[in-house]
Amino acid sequence: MNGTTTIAEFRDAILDPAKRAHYRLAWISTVDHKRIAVLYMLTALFFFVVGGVEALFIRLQLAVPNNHFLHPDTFNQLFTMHGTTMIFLVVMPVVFGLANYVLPLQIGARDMAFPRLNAFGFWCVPFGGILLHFSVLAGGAPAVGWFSYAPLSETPYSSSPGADYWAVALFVLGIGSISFAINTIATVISLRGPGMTMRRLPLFTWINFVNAFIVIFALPVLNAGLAMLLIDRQLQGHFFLPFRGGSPVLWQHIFWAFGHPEVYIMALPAFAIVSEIIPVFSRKPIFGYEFVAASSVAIAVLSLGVWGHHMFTVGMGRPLDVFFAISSMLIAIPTGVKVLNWTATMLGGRIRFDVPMLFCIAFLIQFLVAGITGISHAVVPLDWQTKNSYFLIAHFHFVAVGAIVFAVLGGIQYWFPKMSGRMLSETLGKWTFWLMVAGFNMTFIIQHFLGLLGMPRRVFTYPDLPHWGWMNMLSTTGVFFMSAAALILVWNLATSFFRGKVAGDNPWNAWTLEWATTSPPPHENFIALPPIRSRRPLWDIANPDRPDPIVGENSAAVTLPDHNKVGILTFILSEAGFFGTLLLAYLYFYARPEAGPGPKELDVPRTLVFSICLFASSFTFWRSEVGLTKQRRGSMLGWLALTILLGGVFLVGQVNEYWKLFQTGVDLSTNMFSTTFFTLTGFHGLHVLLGLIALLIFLWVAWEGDFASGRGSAFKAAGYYWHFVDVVWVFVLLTVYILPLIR
Amino acid sequence: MRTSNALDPQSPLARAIYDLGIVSGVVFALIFIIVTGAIIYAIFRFRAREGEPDPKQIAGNRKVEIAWTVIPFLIVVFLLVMTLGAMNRADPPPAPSPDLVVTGHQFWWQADYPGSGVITANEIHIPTGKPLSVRLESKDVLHEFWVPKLTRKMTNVPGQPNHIWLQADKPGIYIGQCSEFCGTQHAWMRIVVVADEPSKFEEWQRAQLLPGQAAASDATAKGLALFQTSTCINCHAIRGVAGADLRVAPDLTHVASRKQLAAGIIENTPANMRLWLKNPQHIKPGALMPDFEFTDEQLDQLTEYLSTLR
Repeated sequence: MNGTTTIAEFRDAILDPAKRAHYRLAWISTVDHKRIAVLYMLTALFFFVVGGVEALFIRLQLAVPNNHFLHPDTFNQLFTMHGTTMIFLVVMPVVFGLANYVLPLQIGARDMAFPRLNAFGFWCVPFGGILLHFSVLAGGAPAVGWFSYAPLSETPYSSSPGADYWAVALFVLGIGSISFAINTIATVISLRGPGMTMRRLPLFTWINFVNAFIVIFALPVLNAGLAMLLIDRQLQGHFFLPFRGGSPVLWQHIFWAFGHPEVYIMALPAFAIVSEIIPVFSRKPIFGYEFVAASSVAIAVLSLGVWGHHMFTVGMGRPLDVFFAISSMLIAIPTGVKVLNWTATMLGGRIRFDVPMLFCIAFLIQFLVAGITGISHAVVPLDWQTKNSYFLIAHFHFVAVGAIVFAVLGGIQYWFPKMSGRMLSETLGKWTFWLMVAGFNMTFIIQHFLGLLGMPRRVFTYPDLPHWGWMNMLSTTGVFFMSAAALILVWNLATSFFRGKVAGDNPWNAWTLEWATTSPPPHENFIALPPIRSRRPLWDIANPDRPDPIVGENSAAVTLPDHNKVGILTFILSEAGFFGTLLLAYLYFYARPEAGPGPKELDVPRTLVFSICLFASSFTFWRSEVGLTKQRRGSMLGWLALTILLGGVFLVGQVNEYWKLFQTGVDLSTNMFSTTFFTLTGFHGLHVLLGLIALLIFLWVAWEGDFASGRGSAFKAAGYYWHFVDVVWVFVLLTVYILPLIR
Repeated sequence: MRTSNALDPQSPLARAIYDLGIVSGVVFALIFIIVTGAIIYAIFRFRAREGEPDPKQIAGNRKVEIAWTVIPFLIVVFLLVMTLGAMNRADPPPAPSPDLVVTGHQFWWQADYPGSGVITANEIHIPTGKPLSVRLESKDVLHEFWVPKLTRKMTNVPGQPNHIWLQADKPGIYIGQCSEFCGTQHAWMRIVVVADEPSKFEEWQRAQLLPGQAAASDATAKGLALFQTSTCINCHAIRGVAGADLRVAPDLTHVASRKQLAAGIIENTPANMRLWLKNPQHIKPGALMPDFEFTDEQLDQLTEYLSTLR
């Protein structure tokens, strides 16, 4: 494959049938971050149209009162799919795609840390999208809302498999997101170019880096919840069904513990985009880089502690309501302060109103509204009226569309030239912009008032109450403007790709490293890197008389941490969230007494024996590592084989324990103890099994003879994973087996 | 006109929320005006003009940034204090035993009055002028009780009774709706709260406690017989009718006294009652009442009978 093909050749190739076949394979099998990024963004664009059509139908049905255009079931499927599609198949892929393209360039790297993992992460998106949409052919799309509250999402109330497809699709998409986050973290930590210290990172990179940590902590919690829902639906578990001892509110806690960080996962990349564009088009640096960077960290940390504000009406009790009110109001501060930083960047500048900047200015005002209505929801009694109403719908669409989509559109207009070598049309861009401003505001401002007039969300129709009719009609009208904008955008992308003005390296006179190479960049991104001493290397080159002050110390010969180690440690962090959720669910039900089997059914001494085998395998693995480091093949192989054996013994012990329980009639469906016990130990066992498979592969590779210590770093990484699986078992052992004996 | 306007509070509970909304609204409006003002000022004052040099490359101002972090923090503290006060006023601690138990079903509301023993559906009568302690439950999925003019909304969680206070200052009809998506007909789970002067409420209560009227004419007797034999009694209760005491579906003892049918989807007239009985799925597809394929004659009889249940 010719890695240095220019975009011009690629353009000609599209028009030549013979070459098309080559490029098809090249793009499907690519591990180049730039191509993967484009695939992400094209996929997002496709699903944007799908989700937009779903929205169009929703608004058509709601245009007039008492409408019968759509059957209620159809409407309920539409809004479920619309929300799920827009969040998981549009916004997340497009922001990951943009980061995928730009981030390695901004830090002076050749690619992401794990190119094959990058490809895997991308392919999870179309796969998850197909899984989700297959439900339409398999009995109907899910009709449970994008957050699938229990008990409605449980089998007695949603018997068609739509909810199962929803859960499995999101599980796959979540794995893809976590993969990209691991890659981002490892890339930023381990692959920065010479002189690119952490303090000199452009805000786009920094904010996406911080964002990756939110993904690491939040997505696994969702996956744990999805696993529990699937266990309920498919294996007769009881996690969320009250009539068998489960708790619908537990689903809400688990989902929103993911769901709230999720909205920051979508919003932070929008902040990242805007933090790049506004300074460039104001011709001055961002006002208060440190505060913006620090506030991003504050948001990431706080975002993990505010989820209860989605549950103010569920009856958590006054103390919890107050706690979440406080945390939610606190998070407004770092968020709001950013708006001031961006505005202050414009003040005193020389503002150019190119299309990227137009989108950012609209973003500022619309995000301000979104933030303010957000704080209004943190004012708990106000939420007691506005939650689950059109006021809430207005709020989150101001965030998702008014802020995030607008920022992304600005980002696309800004970076398209770098990706394709051509400028997007300014004129078409301005049409897109003004149609979006008109349509978006027409649709969503009025919804604030509809909510205050008492219209709830997720209703397929409504009675002809005063003002509800014309307000809904106005809201529907806006959709046509937005549709027109979308069509013009697609037209702009297609025609500019072939006939746009040639862009050159740095059409916007920007200052970060992605503009220090050709448009598009060569396969390895840079021929040479400029000196990096500040946050704006290209400003320094263009203005040698007044460069930016040097940031931090020069990083002469800093050895960056090994990317394999960073990667596996990040993965382990994500797994901690997954197991943490399962463990907490176990403890939640353990605290509630119930009839039936309990920890007394467990044979603790026998389990201790098998546990000792597992713990011993950590020791033997360490010995094997030592053997590898000392290049003693026999020692390495022997200890590794022993490790695998001990792990295998543990698994056999587990299977034996399960078998004994099944024989006495205790399985997943018996009661809450059995459901949570089998879920927790089952997933742990699965991780042991996967670890054993990895170790077997290493054993085979070592046996075949190729064991230069070049692979040592990967082997060590496997070791971290193996030790982690042991540590999880320590927690499980203590909680499930030992705790009942003491307490 | 019946509206569910949250900006027209009709109880001290709703008013506490409304007042908080006004105060917060002023704060929010000020923030919006100031910040948007600054943005618009920047757009006009600092647009790039031909031939101008680069602006001063200011990277920040520590003092300004600290100030604009502290000030929002103070605003947040203020809002928090107001919030705590309003939480107590809009949602005082529950009473030990409820005056009213509202149970959500797919897709209707059951209202029980533990004190008097009245059981009814969808149309909830209350006396004016005093706060009523309401317990919220659910028989199936999550529902949410929301009557904006009178009180906060709260979720009906199966297996976890919740509590709100409900009050109306003046007599009148106050409407609301289920606001937690609960399935196909979530849109038509409307709530009608009828607030009466205490004496009139007592009257209503006494009437509700009477059993369903005995069949007066031949047609109504046939209607009653149909009710008892067509599996209606598997779901519906009518006090005074032997064997009809299950409440999987709305209690029909005084169904003719209600203003609407099927949780607000149609007005309660004999013609509409007949249409509903003819094919409930046609009016409210997804409701849990099947189509019994009654003949025209049977429909007339059933309607006649049910219309006597005032």
